[in-house]
Order: sequence, then structure tokens, then C-alpha cells
Amino acid sequence: MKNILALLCVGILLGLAVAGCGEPSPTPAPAPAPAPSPAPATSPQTPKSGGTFRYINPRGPANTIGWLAEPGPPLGLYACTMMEGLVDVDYKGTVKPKLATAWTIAPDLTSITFTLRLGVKFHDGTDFNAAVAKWNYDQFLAAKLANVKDVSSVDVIDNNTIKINLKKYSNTLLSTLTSTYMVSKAAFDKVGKDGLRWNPVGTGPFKFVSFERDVVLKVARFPDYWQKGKPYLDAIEAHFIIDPLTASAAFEAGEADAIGGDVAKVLYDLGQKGNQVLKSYTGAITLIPDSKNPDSVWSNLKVRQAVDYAIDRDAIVKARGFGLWTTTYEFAPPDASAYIKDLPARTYNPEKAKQLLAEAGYPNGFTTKIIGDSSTTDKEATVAVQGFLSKVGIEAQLDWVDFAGFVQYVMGGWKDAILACANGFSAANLNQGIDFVWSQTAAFFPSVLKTDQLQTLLNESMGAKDYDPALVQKVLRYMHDEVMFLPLYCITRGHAVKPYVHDTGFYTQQSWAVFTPADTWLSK
Amino acid sequence: MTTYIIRRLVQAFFVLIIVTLLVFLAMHLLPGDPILIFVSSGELKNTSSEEIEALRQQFGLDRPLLLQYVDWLAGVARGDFGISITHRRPVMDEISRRLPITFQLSALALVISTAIGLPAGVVCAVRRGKWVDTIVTVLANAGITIPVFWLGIMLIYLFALKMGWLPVQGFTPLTVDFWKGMRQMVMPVFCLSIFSISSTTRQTRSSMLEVMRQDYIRTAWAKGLKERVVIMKHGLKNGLIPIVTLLGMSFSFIVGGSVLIENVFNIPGMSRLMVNAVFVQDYPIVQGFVLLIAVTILLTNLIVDISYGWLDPRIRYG
Repeated sequence: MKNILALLCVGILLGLAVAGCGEPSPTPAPAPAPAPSPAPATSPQTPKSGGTFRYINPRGPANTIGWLAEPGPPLGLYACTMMEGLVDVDYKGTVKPKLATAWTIAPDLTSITFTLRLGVKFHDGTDFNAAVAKWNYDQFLAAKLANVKDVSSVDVIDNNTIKINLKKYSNTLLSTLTSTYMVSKAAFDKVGKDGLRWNPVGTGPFKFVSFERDVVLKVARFPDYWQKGKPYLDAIEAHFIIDPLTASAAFEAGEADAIGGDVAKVLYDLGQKGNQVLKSYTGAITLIPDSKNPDSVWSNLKVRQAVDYAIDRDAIVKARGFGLWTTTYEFAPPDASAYIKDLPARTYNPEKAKQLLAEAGYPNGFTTKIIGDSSTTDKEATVAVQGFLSKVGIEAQLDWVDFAGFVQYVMGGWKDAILACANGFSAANLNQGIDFVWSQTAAFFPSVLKTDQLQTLLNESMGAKDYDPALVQKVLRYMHDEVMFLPLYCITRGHAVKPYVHDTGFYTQQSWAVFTPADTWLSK
Repeated sequence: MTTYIIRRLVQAFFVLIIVTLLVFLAMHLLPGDPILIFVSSGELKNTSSEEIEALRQQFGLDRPLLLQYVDWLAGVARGDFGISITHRRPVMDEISRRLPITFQLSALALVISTAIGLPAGVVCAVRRGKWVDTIVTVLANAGITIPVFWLGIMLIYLFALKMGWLPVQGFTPLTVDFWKGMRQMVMPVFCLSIFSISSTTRQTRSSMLEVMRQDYIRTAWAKGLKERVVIMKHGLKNGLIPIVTLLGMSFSFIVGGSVLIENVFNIPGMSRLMVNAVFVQDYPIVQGFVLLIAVTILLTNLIVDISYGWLDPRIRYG
């Protein structure tokens, strides 16, 4: 008996060691997959009612899930199950009715009139109408939120019509209004914003059940939802698991039906195991030089161009992208309407890079620093960039900082260095991303030279009544010519989803963080 | 004894002030700004400087550092640990929700490590050089050297993914679902206690070997006392002082280890709250947590010191 016990102990230890060593041999880097495009919006099968859809995300909502009229990070992924705005915008930029059935932009571009949907009820049983919509917008205006910065006031025309008066027209307005979710005024009068913050009362297909920070958010079907017959699911549970290995193990063990994230290797592996991988471009990894600082070597256009030629993007994407990255030379993702197909890309050419450096007065190169965001930027890919720069004589020291430290650079500025970080965009309306980050009024990247010419082009593009890809391309060409930043590769965010889950709508909407909970159904 | 305890408590008060001040300054000296982190996280969103300034004022971060610290201390004296920057909830609410989870895991790990480590050490000492001593010593050495996060991942792979015996992650209060809660706790508690079991075994073995060589033990054997009486009454009690010291320190190790374990097993305890708070520089949460841990460690040390007097009556406190 003693011998058996002893053998058992040793066996357990050996088992653990073997399990540790038993990892499959390193996965060879796959060939780059075709460029991702949004998942199909609908499934050909007939939807089935019932069931609970459980999905995993690394982080839950930070500061609120029910009161949005105050500064703070947005939370579309969680709010979209319970709350709705006047309109929706899909991945391609098409504006679709939601709580508004129609809208008219005034010919002089000074206002937008919305016709509101009749018969919509909040989760507390009260009616959604023009007075409530105006009250909601008044809260956003009082909080001076950036997403209503171009709105001056809101008028009630009749019970189901409101007019949003504008200080300045921008074709990004409808896109930004998608996140101004409507909240029940009656609930606010009863519990105030502190009460609403963690007990959302919206008009969405699901109503709030419970929220446990870092654990789970539970919502249940709202029987009085205005889209009759929807939602199909009985409930949705969002589970928050921060460790990607644990999250992926929980998904594989059947503890969830979908898992979201941006770790390319994890998504690739889950895709290889028969799961659907829904994905879309959410941004590009870029190098951003401090071009505004006249004393910096990076203020020299030829130096920036040289670096653009010096980096072999294709090699990096092939080695590290697991089929989820795509080489890029511009701000627009390849599936955006404003993507410039004939852009004169500065493809890998180290000789040309050396020549440009010599012309710029640096024939022997120079030393610099790459400041990397350790939370979003692939370290190995950045080391590869460092290697390519070294080949043309630029010795770059790598400085990895955590998110907290990196934000300080992004918002406060940096000197004699390039930032390596993810740069988000929305393919639906690129004006929005450019305005948020690269306009002269944007709080981000103050060390980048944002010229009057760029601002003029951007104003022209944003001021057009309808989103015009040709005007956006002018902005993009200017940014490319000036090498304001160096896009290296487009990154994708994705969800691995079990085969029995249908019509989640992940990545079919303007924001990667929003899906279509009312349409989602399970066939198991 | 009373005078000794009062003196230790007064010392503890000053230690707490120094610890909280150091942590407060360290957090503020780190690069980064909690408000900028707060508005920059998540989806792409425009943010105005007015929004940023309003948030800074709301959390009192626009005031001088010393004033912020004094205000925080005054709040603590009233039982108010402030409002979390990211959660916008009272820090005490968050701590009181998380603390029982970490406490449950840590206490269980401590009990298990004592219940296994102590007898295992005694058996090894009494059977020195025999096969049981060899095997337990090898296992104890392995237990000390295995990194807990690696062990956690391996256990998930083996027992959750491959065998499907245990859930991968999560925490369920035993009052809600006893069996689910127990199954979820098996792997985290094992990981948390493995180091402590090993170190307690080694320390007990070494301490008992020392004691068992003493004359009074030989006398006890010569008197014809039963083995159980010689070992438990005369041997173990006299060998307990270094073991109790180690157990006191084990509590700190277990709480420290829970930072990794709560992350790997996705347990919403204090340590996970703390790690998240450090990354987003949520000062009120970090300060509240550090204060709580410091109080716990100081009290544990005090209890350990007091227990010396009970274990060895020759020890007297002036």
C-alpha cells in the first residue's frame, strides 16, 4: 500500500511535468490569410428561440453600465444588449433606423430632424417619446461630452419628432450619435444617476439582471421589446476572464459559447479547432515620430520616408500575424471604401532608405528610441522593426512602458523618439478616427506636426453632407506624403464562436465593440 | 503582557502611517495619470480636455499631494476609504465584497498546509532516513521550487481540459452552491498551499530532529512513555516555535501568491482587484488594499509573538 501511495505521488508529479512538456511542437507561422472582412450578418437557417448565450471578454465595463451622460470610457459591448440609440451604423457605414425611423438633414446643414419610433417602451414600462429623447440629449449636452460637441440644442417638434440643432455640421455626427443611448427619465427621477449607473433602464432587447465586477454581467429577454418576436435568446451572460490562456481553456471546456480578444495566436488556434472566427480590422500598428519638435531628427521628412522604406512589413506580418494581420501603408483598412488602392507605397527598399538618410544628412544613421506600449504592441514585431532600422544604420533603443506610462506619452507628448502603438479606426467613417486623433483639436499625439493644410482637408471631408471616400482619400494621401505616422500592419479583433451560435453580428457594426443581441440565436 | 500588546499596537500605528505614505508617494511618482488612463481605455472615443479636467476635479486629483494624503487619512479615520476612480463606488464596498473571497482561499490554504505539513514533517523526523522520509523530502523540495502560475496552468490543462473533472475557472460562494464552489476551489487552494505545505514540512522535520536529540526526550523514552506522548507532548510542543514563526510568514506568502492564482483561475478576490487597480493607477483602491494587508500582517505577527509565550513559558514580555 505504501509503495502504491509513493508511486502515485511520483506519478502525479511526472504527469504534471509531462503535461507541461506535452505541448504540441511550435506551430509554424501560417501563411497570411486573405484580408478579414466582417462576418456574414445573417445565417441562412431559421432562428430558434431559447437558450443562454455566454461569451467571454477580457474585461468588463469599468465605471458604469447604465448612465452614459458623464465623462468616461464607452461601453458598447455591454450597453448594446440593454440600450439603444436613435440610429445604428454598420461596418460599411450605412446608417440604419433604430429608435428613430427616419431623419432629415436640413438643406443648410444646421439641424437634423428625427422621426421617433412609436410604441417603444423602456424596461420600467414607461414610454419612449420626443420629450424623453430631448431630456437624454440635454444630459449629454450638460455633461459637455465630446460626442455631442457639434450639437447646440434639441427641440421637441411633436410627440415623436425632435430636431437636433447644430453648431457645425459634420458627416460623422450620425456615427457618433449611435453611442448616445436612451435612458428612462422616469427611472432617473426615481433613483438618480447613481442608481442608474449599475441598474440600466433602456429600451434594448434585454433587461438588466445582475452585474458582478470581474465576474459576470447577466441580462434577460425583455418581453415588451419593440421588435416583435425578438430577441430569440432567453438570456445573455458576459463573463470576464483577463488571462487569455484561462479564457481560451474555459471556452474549450464548454464554459462559454464565444470568446473575444485580440491575441492573434489564441484566435488562430481556436479557429484551427473548428470554431468560427469572426473578425474585422480595428486598427493599425503604427510608428509615430515626434515630427513637431524642430530639434528632433524626426522633423526631417526624408528621415521619416527613409524609415518607411527600411521596414519589411511583409516579413513581420508573415512571421507574427497568424493570418490575422495585413501589411499596410495607409490609415484606411483594405476593406474601407476610402482605401487607396493605387497609393505609392514605400515598400521595403533598404538601399533607397540609406540614400534618403544620406540626403537628409545622416549617411551613417543615428541613434533614437522606440517607445512601445507593452499592452497592445507585439514585442517580437517591434524587435524586428528595431532590426530593420539597424540594417540602415539607425540604432533604436527599445523602451517598453505599461499602458499607464504610455498614455502619458500619447497625451503629454514625447521627444526624439517614435511611439509604437495601436491606432484605432472605424472603417465606416474614417473621418471620425482621423478627427479624434489627428485633428488640431485632438488631445492625442501632441508631438506630431498637425498642419493647417491637413486640418483644411479634414474640415472639407467632414463638412460634406454625405461621407465622401474621395475627400477622405485626399486627407489620407496628405498624411502618407507627410509621413505623419508609419502604419505597419492592420490588426484585427476577433471572436471565436462555437458552430451552434448564429447571427451574433460581431464585427458587422461600425464599432467593434457592438454586436446584434436581438438577432443572436443558438441551434443546439 | 497588556503593556507589551499596547506598545506593539502603538508601533503598528506608526508603521501603518509610514507604509501608506510610501505607497501613496510611490503611486503618484509612477509615470501615468489615472484620468488619462480612464478616458483612453476601451473603444475609440473622442475626449475633450473639459471632460478630462472635470474628472480630475471630481476625484480631487487637482489638489496638492500632501492635502490629498491628509484628506485620505482623515477619511480612513472615519471609516471612509474614498471612491474608486474607475469603479466610482466606495472603496470599502469593493473591499468588503472581495475580502471574504481571498480570505476564504487563504485560510483554507493555511489550514491545509498546516494539516498536511506538520504531520508530514513529524513523520519524516521520526522515520528519518526511511523511504517515507526520502519521498516526502523530495516532494517538499519540488513543492518549494514549482512556480505556482505554471502549476495552475498545468492543473487546468490536466484536470479541467483533458480529464474534465474540475471547472477551469471561477468562484462560487459555498452558500450559493456548495459543490460547485468546492470543485472550483480545489485547484486554486492546492496551488496556494503547495509552497506552504512544503516549507512547513521541511521546517517541522528540521525542528523535530533537533528536539528529538535532546536529553529530556531521551528521558521520556526511558520512562517508557508511549511514542505518541513523547512525540506530541514533549517533542512537537518544544519544536513548535520556529514552525509557528514560519506559519505566520506563510500567511504573507499565501496572500502574495493569491495575486497570481486569482488571475490564473479568474477569482474575483482582493488580489485581482489590487492588480487591476495598480495597472490603471486607481489610487484609492491601492491605498485601501495596502492598508488592509499591512494591518493583517502586523496583527498576524503580533499573534505569532504572543503565542511564543504560550508555547514556551520561559518567554516573558516586559
